[in-house]
Amino acid sequence: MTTADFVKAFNEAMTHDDIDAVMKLWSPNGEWVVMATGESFKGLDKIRELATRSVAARTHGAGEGLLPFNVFTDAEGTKLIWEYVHKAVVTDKWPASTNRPAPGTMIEIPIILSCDIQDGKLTKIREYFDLLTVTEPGNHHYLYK
Amino acid sequence: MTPKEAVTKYWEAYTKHDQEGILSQLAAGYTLRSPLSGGPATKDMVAGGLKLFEKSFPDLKEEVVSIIAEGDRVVCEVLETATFTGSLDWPTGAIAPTNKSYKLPFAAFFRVDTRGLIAEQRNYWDTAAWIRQVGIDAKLFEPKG
Repeated sequence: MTTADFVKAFNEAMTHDDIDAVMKLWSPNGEWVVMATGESFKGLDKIRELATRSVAARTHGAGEGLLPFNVFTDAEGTKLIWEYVHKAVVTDKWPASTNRPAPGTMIEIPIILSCDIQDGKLTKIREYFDLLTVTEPGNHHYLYK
Repeated sequence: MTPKEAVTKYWEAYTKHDQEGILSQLAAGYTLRSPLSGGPATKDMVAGGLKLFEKSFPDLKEEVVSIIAEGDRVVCEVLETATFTGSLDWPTGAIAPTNKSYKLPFAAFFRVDTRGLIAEQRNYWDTAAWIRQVGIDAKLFEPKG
């Protein structure tokens, strides 16, 4: 799988809430770290827990989902980083946070995912975003201003 | 100078507190977008911000954790550390120092022009994690419409 295919597979799986497809991309000893909160999810069971939580926290309508706009890979193909905007509508399952948006709120969050890849599988994700960027409808995030 | 070298030099200048060195790496039409800037920031605005933060966080250090370059684009992960020891003259008023230290992992995208100068930068960090660690009122940094 090329890195472009990898990005496409990940984004489509997350956009269409296909957790089994997300899990197929991971190595058994993988780790997903949410840098904003410092939370670490290590191993397939914990990663599935995070993916399930993330999917339950929002819904996607037409034109929404993970919208990538800038993809980087290293020469060896072991490091993949991409920028995207996650556009979605918040549900009542959004995890507790200091800036918890009301259910029904449209959010647009700029995110960078830094991925380590070995033998075609994800071994680590570090996810960077700003919780305070969660916005109200019609209130654009900092990349669009 | 390659784009990767230009960005590495930029972060080194930050850790040396070399404000002229930082600004010399930026193109005249440089644009910064970050969670705290509230909108696109120019080179002049960055120069003002550097003076502001030098007074407030005189021990600031930037450690580059990873860096990837493709053509004129560079992306890196950085660990910023500092201590809030001097008054911060924020637009909403002066914020008294708390003498608290912070560790802020973040990711940054760069586009470097043909002269080796940084033309564009986008930062991804969690403002909520930063203000919690330095111990200041989150309301001062909430995004405005």
